[in-house]
Amino acid sequence: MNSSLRFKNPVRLGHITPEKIRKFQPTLMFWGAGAAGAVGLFLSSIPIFKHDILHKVPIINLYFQDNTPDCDKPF
Amino acid sequence: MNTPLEHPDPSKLPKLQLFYNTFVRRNSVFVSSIFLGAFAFSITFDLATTAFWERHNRGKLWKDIRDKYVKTGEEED
Repeated sequence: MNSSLRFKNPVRLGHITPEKIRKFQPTLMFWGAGAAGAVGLFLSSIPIFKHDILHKVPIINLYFQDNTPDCDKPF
Repeated sequence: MNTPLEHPDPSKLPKLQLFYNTFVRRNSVFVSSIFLGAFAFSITFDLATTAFWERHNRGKLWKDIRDKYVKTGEEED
């Protein structure tokens, strides 16, 4: 009886169960890293994204900082 | 997947096999490595070309000759 009850998990969303999420966890992590890479690639030229996110990532922020001296900024 | 005999140079196959097994076998890894590689390449390529340009034109760039024309602390009219 216990073994038949084991698979009746009340937490589910359609066919998505915690067991399936656990099984796909590595794949989901890779997709997450890929999505982060895509967002970083495509939004890296947008100032608000630079200011809010890229300036706060260590190492990478060295590249995205604006090192132009104030005397060279007319506006 | 191709059999080893179909490859033109069988001595290179293990590297290709390693590349295939590491990057291509799972689509999540393949797509992620493309995006992360593109992001990393965009930065390294820009750094490399900028470094080359500044080294090639050293002494001619505004940052090198600014001190001849702009006195630090001087206010413009």
